[in-house]
Amino acid sequence: MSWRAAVVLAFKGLRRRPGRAALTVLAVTLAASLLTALLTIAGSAETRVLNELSKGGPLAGIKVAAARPDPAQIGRDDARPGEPKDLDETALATIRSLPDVRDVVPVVATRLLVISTANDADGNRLEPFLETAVGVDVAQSTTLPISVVAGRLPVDGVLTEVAVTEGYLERVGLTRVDAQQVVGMELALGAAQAFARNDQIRARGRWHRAQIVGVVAQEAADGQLLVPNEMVEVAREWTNAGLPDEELGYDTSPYAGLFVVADGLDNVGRVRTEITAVGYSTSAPENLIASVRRYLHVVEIVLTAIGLIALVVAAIGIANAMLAAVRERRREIGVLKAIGARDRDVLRVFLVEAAVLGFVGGILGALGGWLIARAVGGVVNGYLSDQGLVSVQLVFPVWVLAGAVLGSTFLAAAAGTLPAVRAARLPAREAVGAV
Amino acid sequence: MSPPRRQWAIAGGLVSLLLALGCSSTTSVSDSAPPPPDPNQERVVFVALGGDETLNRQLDDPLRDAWTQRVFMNALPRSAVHVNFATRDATVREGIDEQLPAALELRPTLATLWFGSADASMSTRADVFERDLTQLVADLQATGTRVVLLSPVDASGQGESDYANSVQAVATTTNSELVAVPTVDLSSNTTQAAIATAVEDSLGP
Amino acid sequence: MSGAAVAVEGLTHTYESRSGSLTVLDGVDLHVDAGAVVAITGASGAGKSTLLCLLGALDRPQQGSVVIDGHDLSRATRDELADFRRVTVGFVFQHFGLLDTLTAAENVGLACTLSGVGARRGRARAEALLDAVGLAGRMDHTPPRLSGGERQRVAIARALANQPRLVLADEPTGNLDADATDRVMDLLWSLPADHGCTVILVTHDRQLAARAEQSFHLTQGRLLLRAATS
Repeated sequence: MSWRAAVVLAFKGLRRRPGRAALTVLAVTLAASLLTALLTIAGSAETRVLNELSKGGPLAGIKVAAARPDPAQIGRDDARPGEPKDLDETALATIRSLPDVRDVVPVVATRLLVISTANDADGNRLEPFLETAVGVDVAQSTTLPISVVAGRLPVDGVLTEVAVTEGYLERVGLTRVDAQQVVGMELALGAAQAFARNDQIRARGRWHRAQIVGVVAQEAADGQLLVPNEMVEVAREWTNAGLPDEELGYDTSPYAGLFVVADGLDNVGRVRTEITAVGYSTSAPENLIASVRRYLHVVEIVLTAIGLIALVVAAIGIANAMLAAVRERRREIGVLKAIGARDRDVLRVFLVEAAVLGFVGGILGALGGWLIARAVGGVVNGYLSDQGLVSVQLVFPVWVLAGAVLGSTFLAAAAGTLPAVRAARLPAREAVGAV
Repeated sequence: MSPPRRQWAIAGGLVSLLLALGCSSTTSVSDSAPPPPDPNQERVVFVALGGDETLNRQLDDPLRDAWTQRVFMNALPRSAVHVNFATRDATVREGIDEQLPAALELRPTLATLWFGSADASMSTRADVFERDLTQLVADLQATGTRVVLLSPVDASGQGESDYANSVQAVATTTNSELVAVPTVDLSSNTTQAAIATAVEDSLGP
Repeated sequence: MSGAAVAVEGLTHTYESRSGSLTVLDGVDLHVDAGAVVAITGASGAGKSTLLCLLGALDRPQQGSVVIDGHDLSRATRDELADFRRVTVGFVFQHFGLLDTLTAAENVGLACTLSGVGARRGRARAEALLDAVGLAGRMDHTPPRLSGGERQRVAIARALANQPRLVLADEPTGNLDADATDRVMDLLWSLPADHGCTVILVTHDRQLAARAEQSFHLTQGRLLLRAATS
């Protein structure tokens, strides 16, 4: 008997008892739904947690400071930098050429005087304040530890847009929940330049205005303003054209820092060591991420086990249903053998019946799991939104969906093996019901 | 369609639906970025040259309340840049020698000039004042800068400065704008606002 | 003459149970010429079905020999017996033995499928056989929608699907009314001439048995010749 004929016979056989088949499929569907939903939610949660740890940047990200490494801090996740050291094009090229380095994004920064129309936490007019503006290549923002809390990032090359951090929200007496309130407000930003007149040092400001377009959480560098590279470069050029004054932002280091992406989490430690050897301080949440990943892996194993147990229970149901079917169809099996079916032909028919139950249940289960995960995700995101937290992006890996279908099919076929073997071994004389 | 084929069709449709759903693995948040800036819109570079009346250090909050800051923040496009090159007790000559070179590096499109009080203290001759102010205006206009001359007036509108006539003459000679500005109590925000208003009015819409 | 010749010698078959052993066939001898129609009668529980099973290779003989068309079934493996059944034997059961979820044509075609015949050719052969048994208009009906007589004719058509040389019928008219019985019996009697096969039928109906060329009676494990017309 061909597999095609066995499949046709199997479908016909299942139609004999549609209610039993439906219940069996339902059991598999529920189990597969549970497994799919659990793994999807666990995977999405893991992505969210790790994203939080990496502050929206790649997991294998390393912050390089324009400073020498402090020998006592080497290897720590949050290593304190040592003495300042200029980070220039040569250093950038050297670090970029290191093995296992996938990408390097330079970060520039400058001090700006900020005038805001907002009030402070006490409701008084906010005094102008000096703050660091961090300049990044916005086009590479996905490579940086930057996540948007409200609004959006500034557009590359647009010098009238700026994003602020939660530190700025604190200045104006707001919390993350109210972040949207500052979007649209205007700031006046002044880069200072020191000059000498009559034997005294004076300062003048180069002013420009920008609109707050977003609120971000960023770990690229310390600073409450996130701006396009060009804005910082123009300001630095102005400041550095004057007399050296660190307080006013005078800085000879071309870059305030680098964000290095290693080629894989496993290479983070090695790359950090190499950058330290080049002479710069680094920090990266590698130890924290490694620990969290271990724990999340355990959670994933437990959830998978729960789902698999449910599938096994469903498979036992399949075995029970198939054994009952074999008992009921003894004569039919005998007739099949009487007209020439071999033992393996009968085995094939019953295995296919079991596999079909598992396959259909797996497909419906994958679909059901997707729906359940979406529903749970909706509820969770609603809660997170109320708390002013960034929502979870649900990820539906194809391997989970395919695994649910294939796993259910395989497990059902395995469960149907014993009944199929019993059916195959039935003597052909069952056709005549001989004693 | 025979029964077995119908079952295969249903199964195939379910699998296709599942794959289509599964392939859309993430949802993404799209940023509603604004259109890029119009490259044809010339950026306004506003420089202020002068002495104490332009520096306004006497104010409690000069960065917000000084008339130069008001003009910059209220009357000019968001893309405008502003530097106040005024220095204490600056004469016109010092304006030419010290302030002008630094201002020209910025390639200004708009400049306000307010000199007179320091020259009066130094007893600069009116013709010398007028000659130097003319040179200062001409040097700025040579680079395409729009020049606005400020001349203080008293409460009755009469020219207060010793050099009111000279400033008037320079404005006429150089075809630059002349704005009469009140100077009663420069420490008052009201006065600063009035000066800013007068300058804004001269700039037009 | 066409059809399979049947030679049974010293056939003995015993069933073991908790209550003891039961010998239903005790040294049975049977010789059937090719193309003959033979009837075997006996009381209920006499061992008729057991004999039919052994003749049809549904089971392997415990003692004695069963040679069908020169094939000795006593040493055959399960697969060899299955192959033999598929190629050489056609069965007609008292309970019809049709699959309720298949149509008449699909039931007949199933036998062709087991022989590796393609779906199209199988369908064509099934239609021809159903037409031959007078069921051309019932090809796409499932057994629940057929009468008893129609179902048995479908069963006969299926039995003929692979051009068997031996047709074994176990109480083929046991569940039929008189009209249907006549029709089925006429059909069975026509098989040697129309399809070139030997027919052995088991029945408790002596009138039916009397129509056969040879009639045997199974009693106390032994087969006795009752009548022969040839």
